[in-house]
Amino acid sequence: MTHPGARRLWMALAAGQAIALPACAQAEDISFANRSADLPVQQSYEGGWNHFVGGGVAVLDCNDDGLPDFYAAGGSAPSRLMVNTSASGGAITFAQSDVPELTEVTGAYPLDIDGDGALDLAILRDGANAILRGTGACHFEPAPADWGFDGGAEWTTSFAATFEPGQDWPTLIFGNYVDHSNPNGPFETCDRNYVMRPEGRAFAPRTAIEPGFCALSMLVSDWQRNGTPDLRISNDRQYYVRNGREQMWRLNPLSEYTEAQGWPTMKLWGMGIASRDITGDGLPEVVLTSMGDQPLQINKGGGVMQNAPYAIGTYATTPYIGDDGRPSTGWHAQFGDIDNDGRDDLFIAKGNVDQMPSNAIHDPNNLLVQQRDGSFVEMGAITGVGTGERSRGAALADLNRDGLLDLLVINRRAPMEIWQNTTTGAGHWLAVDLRQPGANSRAVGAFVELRLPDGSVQTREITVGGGHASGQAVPQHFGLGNADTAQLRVIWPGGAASDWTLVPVGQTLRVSPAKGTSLTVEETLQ
Amino acid sequence: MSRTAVLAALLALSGAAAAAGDLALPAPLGDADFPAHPMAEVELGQLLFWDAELSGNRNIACATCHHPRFGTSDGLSLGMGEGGIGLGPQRRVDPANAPEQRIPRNAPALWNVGANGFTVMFADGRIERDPTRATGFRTPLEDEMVSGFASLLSAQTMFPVLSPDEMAGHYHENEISALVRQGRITGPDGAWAGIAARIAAIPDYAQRFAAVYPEIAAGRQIGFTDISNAIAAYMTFDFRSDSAPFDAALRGETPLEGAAQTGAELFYGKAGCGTCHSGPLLSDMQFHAMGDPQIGPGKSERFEAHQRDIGRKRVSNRPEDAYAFRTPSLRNVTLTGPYGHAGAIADLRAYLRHHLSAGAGLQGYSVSQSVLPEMAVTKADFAPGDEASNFAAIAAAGAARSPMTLDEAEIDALMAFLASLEDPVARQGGHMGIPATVPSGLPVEQ
Repeated sequence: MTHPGARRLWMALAAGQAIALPACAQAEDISFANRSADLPVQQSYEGGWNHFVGGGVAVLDCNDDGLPDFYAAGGSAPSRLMVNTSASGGAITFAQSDVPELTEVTGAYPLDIDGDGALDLAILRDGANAILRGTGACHFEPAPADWGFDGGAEWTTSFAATFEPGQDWPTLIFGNYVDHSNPNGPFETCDRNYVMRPEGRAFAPRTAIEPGFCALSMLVSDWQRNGTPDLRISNDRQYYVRNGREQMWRLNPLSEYTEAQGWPTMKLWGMGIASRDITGDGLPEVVLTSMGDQPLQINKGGGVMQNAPYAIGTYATTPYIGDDGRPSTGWHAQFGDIDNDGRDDLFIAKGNVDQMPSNAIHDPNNLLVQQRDGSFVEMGAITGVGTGERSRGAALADLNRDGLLDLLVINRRAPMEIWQNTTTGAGHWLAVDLRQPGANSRAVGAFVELRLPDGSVQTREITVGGGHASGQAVPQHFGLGNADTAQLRVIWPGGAASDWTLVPVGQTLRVSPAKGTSLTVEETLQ
Repeated sequence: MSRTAVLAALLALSGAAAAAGDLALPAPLGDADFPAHPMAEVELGQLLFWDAELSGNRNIACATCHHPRFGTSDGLSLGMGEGGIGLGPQRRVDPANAPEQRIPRNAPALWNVGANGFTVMFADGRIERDPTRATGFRTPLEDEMVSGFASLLSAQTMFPVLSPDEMAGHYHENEISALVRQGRITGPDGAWAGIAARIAAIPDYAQRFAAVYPEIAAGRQIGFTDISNAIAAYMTFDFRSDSAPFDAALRGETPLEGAAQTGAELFYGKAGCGTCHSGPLLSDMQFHAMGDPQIGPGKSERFEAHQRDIGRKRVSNRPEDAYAFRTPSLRNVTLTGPYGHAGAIADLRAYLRHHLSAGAGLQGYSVSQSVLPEMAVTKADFAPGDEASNFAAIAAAGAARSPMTLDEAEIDALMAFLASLEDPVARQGGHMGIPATVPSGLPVEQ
């Protein structure tokens, strides 16, 4: 594909060379501006019981203009593609764009399936799933028949993908909810999940992953950093009721981790997964959204995940504003550094399933801002993003290239929300857009490491999956605090590590493998 | 009123005033304090109240846990909802459908719940009059709440049928429980419509509804609000209690005497009871942390590990409401034990002592003071530790008040006053008695 001309090769700086940047204020003032009303059409996730769950959004730059676009699931209402028309640093605006019409969409994840450099969309539906092949300029068309894609007929509510060794095409995993066709349902009738492996430049017939326990979020992650990613599935006890559990699967051959193998049985009303190393040891922690407590598990290494102490402040058990003290219901969760202070923050979309009297009806979304001591403080009320609709999917992404993570939120039975991050006094930042030539153009499975002058290392894994029915294929955003230089290293899919490379900050860099263990770093002009 | 009667009343009034000193007794209850309903509506509501057709598994009626033989409660600390067999302390587990857990709070007595002054329903007030809301009331469904209920009591009546442990049943045991578990409550495919369809399918009910509500005669379907309106009419009529010796005193007819009068002076004086147990309903309809023992599963969903019941805070989300519960009406209190929001203390005198201790009595609490029928439970009935019921926090909340020390004679007097709240009508089980049969043909808990 062609890249816009406004991009030039950036010459690696010699180590120690100073880069002049304005000193950033110590006390940032986190704020957001509500741009929801500026959407050209109200977008809402609608429908009956089959759309109590789902309501995802895929965020991707489908026209390669450096501005993220999105595809929002509508359930029984239209699903729409919105193309970003924001000016860099300006107010966030979108224009609706044509996209093949699909009904009963529950969620969507972007990824480049055929290695043409353009992102495609995996569309989850109550009914046959679909692949929309991106051909550039935000044009999408149904996947060619010779791709051999089998969309099934299940009620699909989660998705993950990975590129397995030796394969140019991804392995796709579809997680399903209740089996509509089972007359004994809906309880204890969770459907099977399916894995679809490539066979050359097409997909082989799919294989069932059993047992299924009503998967609402799936993520393929090398969570042990041993070079072999596993499949995590978070399952909804609402329907599996008794015999289900949170699952971890080895992918090849498919086999579920057992208690005997040190995977303790955990039962959850699981809705979403957020994965990020927040302890600085390179191992990803996970937040598993649920009803009541939203557990954060610290990755202790050696395959051990341990619940963080309640005092860490991320459990977000009940609403923090409003006069409803019943437990919360969490859905999409995502880490991101909202104020670029170098510490990842956490957004959790909240909302009643529909009319569950056991849980809060007006359930505010959480913006949990990490403090210097590693604890998190709720900023949803102060910033305004703590709205009380039935939120489902969401995304944190820099939508106007100002270096600040903005927020998209999909609501059930209410218009979606767009929040422009207007934080003042934020720290320095850097965004890294990994690219590989040919297959797996977005380097899914890679780890990006950013080393700051104080020696701390931020680690990012490039994944497809997680959240709640919502995926992002956008540059990895790093908050840097006061750091005005950073060294970047990439561990490419397959495990080859690049050199540590000094990079400029305050911009989005396109980073590709170069000769040997060096990197090609392209600066994206804004 | 004849001249003689007026004279007698005046004499009684002056006598009461003299005996009570400067006691400020509340105004008496009268007809104006209760909504009036046609007897046909009341009778329809009575049948519904006693009919297990309203429960998902057709095995429990409103009357099962609000039975006149137990003061319109159930004689238990914590009730055994659907899946139980029998009444009161004899209630036992149906081995074919064992309940998953006890009901987390003591079944409230229903005396005078239909009175206009009864503005807060349930111990946590999750259904209440609330002028700050556009609709004028709060319910658990907030802005999803349906319209058509005629009173706050009618709205209250709409919720026990949705509770899997109380009346609806679990998972796919029946069509109602399946809808409830999925969170499908309102609308034509919701749980309320499902129950209403059951009732409408019984010809006797269909005829009675048409006779009582003209819109139904004109062709409108029976909605669940019609059912709840009829039940509210019944409860208002049958459980009206304003003929206790206390009422006679309020009306100035017969002053309290002896120990009861001494008790009244304590109640409205030194002991300070009347501050919260105020008005003719003996409740300020407010919430107070009193340090009552927490037993049973707590107000805790299946996805929660704790066994706490933080009372009003779980509704209001206000930290200062932690462990606070609505002041219960003391009408017929001698008939409505066990006592406390979790019914932790069966003996009224023992409860009174605990109540006066401002939470300090928690240290000596023994679960043997409760009435809990045998039942396998996943969460221990008595778990006072920090991770479970959290007695320390309850005691701390209760300690916001000062403990009250009364001697035995004073407790005797208070007990005598509380006995004066017992209405002969309540003793006989209300105004109407128990129906022999109900239209569904299901057995009636006599």
